[in-house]
Amino acid sequence: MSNYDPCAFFCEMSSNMSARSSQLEDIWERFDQADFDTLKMRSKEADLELFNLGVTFTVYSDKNVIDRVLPFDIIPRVITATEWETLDRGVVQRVAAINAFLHDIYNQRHILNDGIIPPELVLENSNYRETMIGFEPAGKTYTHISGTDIIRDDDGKFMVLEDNVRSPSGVSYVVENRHLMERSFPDLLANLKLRKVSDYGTNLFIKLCESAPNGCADKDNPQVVVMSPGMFNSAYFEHIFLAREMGVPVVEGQDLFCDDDKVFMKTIGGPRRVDVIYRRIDDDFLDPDVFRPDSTLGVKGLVNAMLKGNVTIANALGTGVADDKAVYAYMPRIIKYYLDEEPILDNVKTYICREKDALLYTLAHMDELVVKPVGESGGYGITIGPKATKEELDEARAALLANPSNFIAQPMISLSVCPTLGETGLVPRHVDLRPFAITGRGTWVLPGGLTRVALKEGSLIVNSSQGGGTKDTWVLAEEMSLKNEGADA
Amino acid sequence: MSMLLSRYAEALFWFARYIERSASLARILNVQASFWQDHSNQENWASILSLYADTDRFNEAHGTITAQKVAKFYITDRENPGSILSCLWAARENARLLRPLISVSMWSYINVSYNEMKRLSERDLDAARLSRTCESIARTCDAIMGVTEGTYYRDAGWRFYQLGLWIERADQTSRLLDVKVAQVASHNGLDQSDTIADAEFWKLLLHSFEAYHAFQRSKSGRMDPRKVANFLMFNQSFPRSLTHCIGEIQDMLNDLYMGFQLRHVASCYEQVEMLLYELEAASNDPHLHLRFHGFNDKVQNRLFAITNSLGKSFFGHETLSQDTEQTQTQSQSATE
Repeated sequence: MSNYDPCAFFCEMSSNMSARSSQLEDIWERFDQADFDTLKMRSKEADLELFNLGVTFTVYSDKNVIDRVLPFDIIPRVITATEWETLDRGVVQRVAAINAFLHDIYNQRHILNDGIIPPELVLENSNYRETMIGFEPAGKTYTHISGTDIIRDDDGKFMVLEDNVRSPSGVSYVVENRHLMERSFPDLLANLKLRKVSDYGTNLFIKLCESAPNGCADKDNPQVVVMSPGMFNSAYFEHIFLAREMGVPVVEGQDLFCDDDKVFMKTIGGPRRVDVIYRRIDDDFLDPDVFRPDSTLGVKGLVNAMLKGNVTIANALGTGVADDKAVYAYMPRIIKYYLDEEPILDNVKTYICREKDALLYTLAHMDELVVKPVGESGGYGITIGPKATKEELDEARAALLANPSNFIAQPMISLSVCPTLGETGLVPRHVDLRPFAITGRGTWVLPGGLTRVALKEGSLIVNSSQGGGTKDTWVLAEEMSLKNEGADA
Repeated sequence: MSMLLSRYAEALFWFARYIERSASLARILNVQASFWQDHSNQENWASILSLYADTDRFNEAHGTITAQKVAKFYITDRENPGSILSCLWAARENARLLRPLISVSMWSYINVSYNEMKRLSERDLDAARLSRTCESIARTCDAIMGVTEGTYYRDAGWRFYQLGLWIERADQTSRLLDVKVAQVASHNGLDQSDTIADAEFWKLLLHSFEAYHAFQRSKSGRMDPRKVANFLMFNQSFPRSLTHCIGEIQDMLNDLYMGFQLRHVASCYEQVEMLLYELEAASNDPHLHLRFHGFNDKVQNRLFAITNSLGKSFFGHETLSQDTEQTQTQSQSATE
């Protein structure tokens, strides 16, 4: 197996290969035995194609429009049928718990009254929206579209690092990456049985239609739209992608208005009713009557129309409480509380320092743990134990003791690796995974999800702003069901 | 299918106008470039500036007129909102907004074309290469229209695309004729006997419209100025004549009214009918050459009024928000 060495990390391709799936070996050989220079050249062509197709995120400066391609690595990340079965169930479970949690905290607040979660964590959370109190969204769904960030430790165990239940992005890359692989490397994909990703749009449309509000005039045929902040938004491509895949318009705030607590869009034939809005705009900008009065991206009266049951806003307002760092720590308990089930996917081990045992453990292991404040200042105030000086540890200890409730602690996380096209050969690079789940009546998870890869050697940071790229994510179809899923390729 | 958003209708309209404008500009510059060495050179380059009412703006920014400077001003200068690069930029930004509606191949082709245009250098605009460069720009624009024609779904939006295209084309034809005829008039005043130069001039004019062969087919014989002007204005079958363009506009409005049940085309339709009537009258006017400029002014005002009433009836404007000289894309942001 050439010179590829994943070191001590779990490798998505080469670790326990034969035990995981007979197909893995075949796939690895296809890439490992391909001529490296040819792969490299074809990879460059693929990048150019992404650029020409406009599969880009856009950066605007005063006079220029710069379209950037998110770096794409051609070596796929492979998930076996068995692994996917667990991930799929785990994500569905998590989303169900989150929706139940959101409904509860905006209604009876059982979980707070039962002392499972400290009330102030929820009620004083900056993402808690009082306007949602007592409101019943269609199907009790709050997070219609969720993205769950999942990592894998050195033993190959999947763990949830973060929930994204406001407006998770990246799904367009999942679908476009597959299209690109199919066009650029038909030979390397030949005869493989992969779960398809191309029907995301269809499923999204179905789930959004299922979430039409009570006040919808024609429930069989609701008018769905994607609401975008506009083409100056860096994710505009994704907004277009979603609308195109669903066959619905992309609207901006300026295209909509409210009258008589109903939402209308301005068309060449006059106003037309809108029933479901998949919005890619933050809560704060949605409605200048309720939130930021200076917002030009929103629509006056939108929140009222929603409260009257005349329009569904997806995701609902105020879902941000559920993907907050402080609430994340409680997620295993939330799952247990609402579903009476053990979590299928564990959290990264998290010590909630407001709790005595956890605090004592954290204080005793400061030099091994990552201590994070749970407040709003993301990134700020994090102490990485193994890398901190003695002074820094002392400072962190003091801060922790002064206000334990403000902190959580986690062990240093380790991410699995995946073979990646390097300068002279295949090299191991760290990856994570963001599966996308969509919920209407029931939840559907797109097989696979977005695999982000840290392209810099040794880096654990997969974010596109810091040298991250993406990979195609291949979920192997179960060998048993190959015949039934003949169309999947 | 849901009813087309006003914002998309407007973007389609302007997308077409910017592509058509780029194509037309490329053709005019191409003809000019072929006669780069001609002694009347500078005057001809100056006439292009007056064609687009850019003389003052050009003088301010660039001083004396040279072929190279004018070519650059109209091809690659992003400071000039009327340059081909600026027009293609605006077309591309409208296309970006329209991406939910247009085919991937259409967007991709526009994107690639614009990126190629951006790479044009001074070298591509020198005497030896200018003509070829213009030729290739014109072909690129033709190809964009071709991809559009071949892939765009024939919804109401298609009619707005077509309206933009035909209005822009009529406008370009009217402007070019107006300026060229004025040029001839001033020339003939100086030197009545310069008939050979005259024939050459009219031939050139036909080339600017890629109309030379069509004209020869329909009116064989001597290059009579009046015949040329009449052909370019009133020929039913020549796709750049005023009469043809306005006829197409009328057809599109009919489609919107009948096929899409959009009853509010009425005010726009009235303007078009009046313009057709005026064209008819002008084509029968033996003394049109004496009031040529006034006539073209009227045509351009009518086209402006048609655009204006589209804005009111379909794009949701109180008044026309896009001055035709401005780069135009719709967005929530006023930047650019």
